[in-house]
Amino acid sequence: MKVIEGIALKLKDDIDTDMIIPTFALQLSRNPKTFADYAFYHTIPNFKDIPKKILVAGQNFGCGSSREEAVFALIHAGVKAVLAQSFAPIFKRNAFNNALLCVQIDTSPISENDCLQIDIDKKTIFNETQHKMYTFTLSTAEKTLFLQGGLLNLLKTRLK
Amino acid sequence: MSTLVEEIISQHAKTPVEVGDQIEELPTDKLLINDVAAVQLIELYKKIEHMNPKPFDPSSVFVVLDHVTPPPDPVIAQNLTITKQFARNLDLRLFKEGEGIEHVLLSEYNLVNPKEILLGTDSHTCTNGAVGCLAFGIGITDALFVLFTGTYYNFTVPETVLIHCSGTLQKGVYAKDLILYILSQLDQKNVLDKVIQFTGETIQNMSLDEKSTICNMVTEISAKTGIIPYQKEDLSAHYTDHINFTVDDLVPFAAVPHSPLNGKPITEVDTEITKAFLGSCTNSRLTDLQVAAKILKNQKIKDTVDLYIVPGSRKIYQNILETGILATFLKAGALILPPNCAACFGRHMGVLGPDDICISSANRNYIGRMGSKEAKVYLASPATVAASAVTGKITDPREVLP
Repeated sequence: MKVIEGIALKLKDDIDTDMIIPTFALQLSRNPKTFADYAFYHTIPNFKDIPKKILVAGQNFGCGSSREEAVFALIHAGVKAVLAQSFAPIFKRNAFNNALLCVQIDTSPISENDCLQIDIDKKTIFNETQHKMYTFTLSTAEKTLFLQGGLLNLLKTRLK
Repeated sequence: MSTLVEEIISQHAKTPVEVGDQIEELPTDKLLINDVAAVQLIELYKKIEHMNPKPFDPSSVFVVLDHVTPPPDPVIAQNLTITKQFARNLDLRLFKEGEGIEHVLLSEYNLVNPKEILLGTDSHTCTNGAVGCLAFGIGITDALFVLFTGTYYNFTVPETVLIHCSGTLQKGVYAKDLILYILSQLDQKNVLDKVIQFTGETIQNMSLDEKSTICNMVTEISAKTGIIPYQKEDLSAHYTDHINFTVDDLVPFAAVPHSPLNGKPITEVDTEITKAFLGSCTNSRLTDLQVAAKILKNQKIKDTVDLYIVPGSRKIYQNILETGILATFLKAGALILPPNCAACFGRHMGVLGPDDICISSANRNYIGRMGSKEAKVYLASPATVAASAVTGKITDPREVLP
């Protein structure tokens, strides 16, 4: 049973990938771990130090550039999962390709700092703070990518 | 009847498909990789290099060095060296620094054809839908998968929204104004992850340059991609939505900070500027520069403004040299940069400071996109950029067009 626990960090609509990782940070180093230091560089100070965060956003999360560094930045900055009203398609695909869980649900009932438990098998989110349960769906591909640890692992199998 | 997208995917999947169907591995024709994406793509490649994978078709993989070229620092210079080695080792088709912007080059060199599938490590890969192919942006992991299998993993056939445009654009109103207007009118929720197919006499009468501008910006509303059929399409197919626009009364538009979806009639925009940027995969093609030259002929750029002009490719640069347009730009006081993404990508060549207000022919005006997070960027047509550079404030090009 795969369960992700974390604390809600609320974000607004239309979070673009330039906001998640600014252009200047993309080529500072070839090591993707360094992107953690620049996640939400212009808008959320010390983002990577915020503990156990589950991002809880509005519409169209991850819009704009196709930069996969946005996903690397979130993963290496300790983001456990992203919940949003909706996702921009390239970002969502990039996220699952790296086994970062993105769940599309109505995020409006969730408040800042709510404690959340996401159960992948049951496809439920338990809001411990509010004692509420939400359900979600994942496509077969999304579930496969998540459970296999991302697309690179599938490619390795494919190339064998 | 099938939509154009269903038809293209059916041909590639070698089985009839419809919206919502999943294809385990969708065969693709062309792959595009740029210099910025290449950095992390090569890092991923190192993890499978020992398996000795072979590219699906090296001549159909285009590596274009356009985002941050020529290199502004030693780290990026080394990244470019590594990328060139990677392309040469795998025998991929390399476009060196200064050849041009990826989404300008492909149609210029006839490297994408109607009904093909093109994937690119850049969200503006959708630009190429202008030739009638299915083209969309992907990340580097998907690109690595495509590179070594020739297929896109687990593709879901997307819905298509039909946008029909009728009427004739007024003098001084261009494809850029039309797409800014359309983006300001659409409900993002209704087009998310869907293909926008453009049709109608207004679109059909457009040049490939103009069609490219239209398709370029659909990613700004998080559509899957844009497509303009090469031939007359079957409109009896099942489209998710059918939206009509009449363009006869359209006026020049500008997207105000900080979203490309914030389009407003230029008559409602009143601000002085410090910078004017004419370039990018949206508007750096020959016809874009010709329009700007018409406005800048025998004019001087306002002394409070810097105008950066970035031709989209070496061929376009050569053309404006030979036709005297380059001289017009120089006499007007513009600063000419080599073909590349330049300040649109916000990494070099004219990035904005905190006090800058820029009129730009590009596609994004997010906070910090072109440099400082305090800078303000307005998006508009090349004509509006040129007219505003002359007056020093955002100006309706219809006032100055000869």
